[in-house]
Amino acid sequence: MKPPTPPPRWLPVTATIGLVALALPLVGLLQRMPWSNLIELLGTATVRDALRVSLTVSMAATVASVVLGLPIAILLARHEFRGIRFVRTLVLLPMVLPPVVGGTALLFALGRRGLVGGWLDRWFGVQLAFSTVGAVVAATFVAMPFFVLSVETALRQAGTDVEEVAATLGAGPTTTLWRVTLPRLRGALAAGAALSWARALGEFGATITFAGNLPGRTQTLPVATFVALESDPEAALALSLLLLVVAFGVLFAMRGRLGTR
Amino acid sequence: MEIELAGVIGRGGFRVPMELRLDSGATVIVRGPNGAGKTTLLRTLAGLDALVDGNLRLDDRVVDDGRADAFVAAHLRPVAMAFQEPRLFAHLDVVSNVAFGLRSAGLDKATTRSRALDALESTGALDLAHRRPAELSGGQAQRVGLARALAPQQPILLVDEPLSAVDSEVRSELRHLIATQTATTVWVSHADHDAVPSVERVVTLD
Repeated sequence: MKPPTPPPRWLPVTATIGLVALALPLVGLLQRMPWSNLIELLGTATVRDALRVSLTVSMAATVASVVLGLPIAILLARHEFRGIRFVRTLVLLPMVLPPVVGGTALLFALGRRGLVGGWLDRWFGVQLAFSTVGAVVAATFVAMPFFVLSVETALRQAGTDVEEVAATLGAGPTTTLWRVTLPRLRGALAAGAALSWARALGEFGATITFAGNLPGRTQTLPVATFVALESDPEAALALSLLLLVVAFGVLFAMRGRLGTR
Repeated sequence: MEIELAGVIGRGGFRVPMELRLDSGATVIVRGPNGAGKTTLLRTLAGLDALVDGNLRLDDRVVDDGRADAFVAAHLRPVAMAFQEPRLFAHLDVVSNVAFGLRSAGLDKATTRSRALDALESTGALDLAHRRPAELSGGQAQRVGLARALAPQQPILLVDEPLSAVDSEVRSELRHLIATQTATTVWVSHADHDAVPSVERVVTLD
């Protein structure tokens, strides 16, 4: 057996400092948590509405991320074309872009006076801004890169060996995709969808910018948390706990992995 | 089916001039050192790699002449290939692996299944029908891989030395099985060709 290589002596100390810095805010949150009336706080009409909006919006955004993100992931992983680096950067941009910038961009593109929004309004009477659908659009914008990244990475790791076999057995590209590629990627597809869902559920900046804060329509759990911080700090704490538990649960189930299988 | 190839094959930066003509039903053994282009030859015939230059004709149909618009994709060629590593579909059981090509050909379920079982029997792998690829030894996986390539009974069979992990007794049986296929067969093998019955020709690449 290979002898263990000892880490540099200073490493455990600095790593501990880093971990404390990460854990401290969570400890602060839990320490102030109103444990005794948690159920009550989470049972108010405001919270129930926000929960309903959040679940609807995040689920819809996950579906949209899968449907729109899968072709992008396949294109990026399996095809070479001019400008692929530009496209990949564009796809991943929402992961590092401040969400409020995403929301602003959506507002000027899809808002009533926006590039496409004005046209949607004139021709179809559809107004995305400040609607539940708008909240879905905002959540999809920030969540989709997580799905694309997970699936693209998995596709690259899987290689094309069995796709070649399928081709020599007479299966066309579409059959091969459904019968060989996607079944093998089940794990990565589920992980990517779970990550996008968690990201969509936690989305705040783009949502409040583009979809606003309308209770029962666009007020999601994070938005409700932000609003409650002023008026009802205990409710804000309870809501934070709920979101924290969900986020931790999703990552823990995926063994803390991001991007890779 | 007749094969006529004249041109240059290659992958990446590597190029090999190649000429091959095979009558319908003939079997040719391809030999040569690593890097001589044996696998690339098979991949070019299968349509997994394109010709760098020249012509590839299967019977009267030109399937590749070095131009993208004349290239006939792998799934549209009347070709089956047994790969060096078995490359089984990990999410399907053995019989579904072998049935894959027959299903692609649009055969009904019952015919597909019985022909898949026949193919497994011919390679001595019938008892493995309901296992998953992960539950197979290297030699067992190669038997399944060979059965999967034989099952569709394509007019052209490409064989890339797929028997490295099966024991020597079984190997000579499977060689006999490959050699007696009615398909036009291009067979990459390190084996001494005297050990292979009814092979008309040996081509050595260098």
